[in-house]
Amino acid sequence: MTQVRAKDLTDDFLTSKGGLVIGKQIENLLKLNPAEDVELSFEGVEHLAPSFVNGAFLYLIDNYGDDYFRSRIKVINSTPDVAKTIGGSVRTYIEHQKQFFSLLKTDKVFLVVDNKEFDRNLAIKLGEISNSKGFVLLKNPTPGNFSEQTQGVLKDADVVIGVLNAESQSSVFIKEMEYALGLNKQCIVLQRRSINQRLSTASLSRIQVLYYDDSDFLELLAKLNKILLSNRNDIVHRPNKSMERKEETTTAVVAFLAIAVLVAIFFALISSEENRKK
Amino acid sequence: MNPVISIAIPGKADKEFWHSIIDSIRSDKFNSASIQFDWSACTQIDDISLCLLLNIIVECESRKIRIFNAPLNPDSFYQIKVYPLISFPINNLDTNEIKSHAFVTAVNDDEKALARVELMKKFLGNHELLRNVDTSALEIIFAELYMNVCQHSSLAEIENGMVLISVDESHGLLEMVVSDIGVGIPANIKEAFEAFEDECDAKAIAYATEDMVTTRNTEQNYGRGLNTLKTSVVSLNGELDIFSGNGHFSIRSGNENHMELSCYHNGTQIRLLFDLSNFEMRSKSDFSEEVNF
Repeated sequence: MTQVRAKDLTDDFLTSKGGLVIGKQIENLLKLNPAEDVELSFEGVEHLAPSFVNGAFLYLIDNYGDDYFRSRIKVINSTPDVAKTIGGSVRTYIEHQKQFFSLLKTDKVFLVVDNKEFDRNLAIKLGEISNSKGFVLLKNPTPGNFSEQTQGVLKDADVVIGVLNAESQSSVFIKEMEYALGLNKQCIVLQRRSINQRLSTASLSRIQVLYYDDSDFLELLAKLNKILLSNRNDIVHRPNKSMERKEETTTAVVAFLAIAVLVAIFFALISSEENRKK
Repeated sequence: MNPVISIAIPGKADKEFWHSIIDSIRSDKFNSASIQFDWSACTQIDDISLCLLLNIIVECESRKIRIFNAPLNPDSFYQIKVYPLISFPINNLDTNEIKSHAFVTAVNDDEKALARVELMKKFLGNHELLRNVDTSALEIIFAELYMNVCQHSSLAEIENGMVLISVDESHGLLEMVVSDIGVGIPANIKEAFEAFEDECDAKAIAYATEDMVTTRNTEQNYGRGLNTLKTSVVSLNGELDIFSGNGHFSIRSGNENHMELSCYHNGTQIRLLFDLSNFEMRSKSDFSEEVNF
């Protein structure tokens, strides 16, 4: 267990900037010592603001997920007020995220990818499998080009998933995601952690960003797969067919995990291709 | 037609003058009337007077008392000196501590947030009434609102706002007014949320005080500021008024109200009123809790 005193890292317990100093330090410690959990002491901190909690803890939940956060980070030596503010803010945020995903309609998914060639290949591979399970992956008719046809298909989607893999992502990716947000579509962005790009206008009620890097991309896809399948109308709302539903769900999960493996291979190929060019 | 009460501002209006107007307003002397200020004789105004004038504007708004100025020419003292300072942030103030009655500071630099919280604490500590009181809620409110103004008003690329805090020792009351001239809360909400395009401004303000509602996609901005404010006001049994655009949102005894204003309010003004007897006394801290997620 790595122990850290919050007061050694910052004097600012009132703003999100102050919190981010803590959040990033915890992140560094977890990266440096992956086998060790972090124990954060708030000894001497009389009170703090919810905005501080945003920077310190919600930052970590966004980047690593709530399960990881809860299992790796412990907060001790706090006053009742501080414990209440931190605990309350974190629990509220996690609940908010869960609600976002539980309300997603996911029969028709439009996939936005920042790489033209990858987009074409991925769409072909996914389309073959998804159509056979009644799960509709809407194909971008003009990948790499934000055309009227693309807009038309996008309008038909229940949810739009964007994969942001490279810093030099195309402006088309941004256009497509912001167009989707403008249509009030629910959006999920899978974003590589090293990328600082943020969509210019976003409401937290319409978008969730899930972060990844090469080491946990598969895990992230599995999580996304679970979310999408659990919200499928034809699976969720079919009465008295629980056994059939389970089998169908299991088959769909297996199929999607297979897709996830393919996607991971694609990313690895692209990544090594880019490294080779450098 | 409402009667018009004309008030001539003297050459060097001091704080007693402005206090007398505030007292008259609060004792309902001006209800069902309009107030007209005559600035023609005024040649000087100090910082505390500006704060008190701001107080008067807020009081009149909440009582629906129309307040306006007698016809002014462009060279008048008011036009040149006063109006720019009221309408726009007080640029010649960096930080300012007024030891008698009010603390006022500009809100124009997020890097100075903590320093200004410290000044506020010092001001509060000068009052016997507040010496042993736990004022942490006020520090949090101040910081949240300060950063809110910096984050939202910075888009307009203009100087931001101001904060006024005053303590009424005889009645045991503390008032905080945070004022800015950004685009206003309703405009921000309506731009970000299509559902509010046709809603009234007051409902848009009410929505902005809900948890996790944010219109700014800056790092670690999750829409907590106004909700924190609302929670603190309710837990301390305080009063809250938010004026922005044509909307007025208020909280009294924990109950929320919203209504449309007859006149348009430029930017946003947030007024908080607390009875200091509702604050807890400072106590020895216990650092033994572990957070349960």
